[in-house]
Amino acid sequence: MSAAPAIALNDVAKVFVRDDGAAVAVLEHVSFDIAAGSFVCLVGRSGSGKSTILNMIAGLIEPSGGAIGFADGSSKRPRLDVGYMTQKETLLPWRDLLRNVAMPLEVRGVAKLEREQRARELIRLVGLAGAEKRYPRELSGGMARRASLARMLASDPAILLLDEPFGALDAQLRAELQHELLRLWQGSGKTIVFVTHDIDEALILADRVIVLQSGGRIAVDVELPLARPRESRDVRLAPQFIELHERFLEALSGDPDAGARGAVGATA
Amino acid sequence: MSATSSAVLSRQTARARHRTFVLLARLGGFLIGVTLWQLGASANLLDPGVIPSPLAILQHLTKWTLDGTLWFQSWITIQETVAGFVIGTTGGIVFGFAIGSVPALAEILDPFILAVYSIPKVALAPLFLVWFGIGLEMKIVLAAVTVVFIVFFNTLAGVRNVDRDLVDAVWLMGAKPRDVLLKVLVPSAMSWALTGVRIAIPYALIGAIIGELIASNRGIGYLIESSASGYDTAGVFAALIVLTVLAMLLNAVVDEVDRRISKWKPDASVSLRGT
Repeated sequence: MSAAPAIALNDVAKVFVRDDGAAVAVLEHVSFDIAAGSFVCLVGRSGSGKSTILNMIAGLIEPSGGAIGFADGSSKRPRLDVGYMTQKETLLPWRDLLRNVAMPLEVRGVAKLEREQRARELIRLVGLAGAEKRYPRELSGGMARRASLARMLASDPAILLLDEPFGALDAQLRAELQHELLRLWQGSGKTIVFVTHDIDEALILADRVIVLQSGGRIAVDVELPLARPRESRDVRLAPQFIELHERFLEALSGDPDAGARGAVGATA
Repeated sequence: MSATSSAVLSRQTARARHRTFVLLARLGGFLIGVTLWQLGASANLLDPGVIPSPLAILQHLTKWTLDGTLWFQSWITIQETVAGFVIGTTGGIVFGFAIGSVPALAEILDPFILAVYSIPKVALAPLFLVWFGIGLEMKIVLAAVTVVFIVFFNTLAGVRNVDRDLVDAVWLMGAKPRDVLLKVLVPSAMSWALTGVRIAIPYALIGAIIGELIASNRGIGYLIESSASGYDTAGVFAALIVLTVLAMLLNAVVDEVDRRISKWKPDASVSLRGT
């Protein structure tokens, strides 16, 4: 990896205690670096611990062992240079779009005029101009996702964490939002860690794909040799694309423990 | 284009026609009902001591309107209802937030709160009469006690049902505990609390009226009670009509307030009235 990784996981472990008192090791000995400015996809089946890794990077939960380091060496949580977007919608239902997008700036004490101006710019950037006064319930699924993207970008974080952000959308909308995310990311210098169980999604988006098996065991860790843009059909039919797809699929289905850990994500 | 717009137009006229029909049917049904009632009374088919004639009721209403009784007594009841409502809802919201934010306190107090809640509030009226006398205070307290639990339980549920994911999301933005409280917990719980407030208004009226029925010399409840004790059935009916109008006005106010404060809420129109 490059000299100063944006994020470094060093022998990270996570043990959860179930309701019946049994301890379950979700992650064991997970180590990898993420280069600044890169787009990394963590691919894994349900139970591979990929969301747990993201939650630990975000600072929502603490590792049971090992350490997660950042370029600046700070261990303060939550990190203000991290933006987080989950599959579940977390827009505040009592705030209109404008005030939702401005929220990260509001809690940081940015003056009202300035934060609203910034929020308006972002709303335009994600293609929602004109919907500023709408409440989340008045937004379609795709619009709400765009709104969450805008909110995540409001504080201009250097690191973006996305946990299956487009998992609940139909194929058409998902493609649209993948394109949107790439457009927003390219040239921004931001580091993205993107969790998904959808191999195609990883192949279209990432610079680098890490396939996780149960326990966070890294089955594949590869820089994608694919040129951008990759959204067209031709790219998906290219031998290289198909070859990588096969390789990832094999790594996912070759996971001996996955069956015991619950169903494979069905929306893929 | 023009075909669709004319289709839309004809659907609109159809709907408007239907609405006019419903209105006319209501009005017609009402007039027919009252006319039959009056005919029955005039033909001496109804005992005026049991069911008075509509004209006798109207005479009472006219007399009360002219001599100021109507406004005076209604105003008393409105004052009691509103004061009891304000005190009860404020108390319910404050206690709901206070107890809800300290889970241990909620756990300890739970059986006691349930015990007090289980008492039919009407049964407390004689006690309040002893404590606060025959004046407005007793009715206000009865209305407040009737209301406070409804709002309290709703607020408590709201505090307990705050979406953890929203709290996490806002915390990750770098929000301080104060921000989380004021920008997530309070607004989230407020929507529940306001549902309680909305249900509470008719209950405040019930509390005030019951207080007046039990002991008073003013208010609509007194009007009902004093007419009944004088075997003035027409007076009772007239007072009940005044009460009905008052209750409907209060509900209209609630509907309007509800519409304004909960426009972000998807199920705001689900009526909780009449529980």
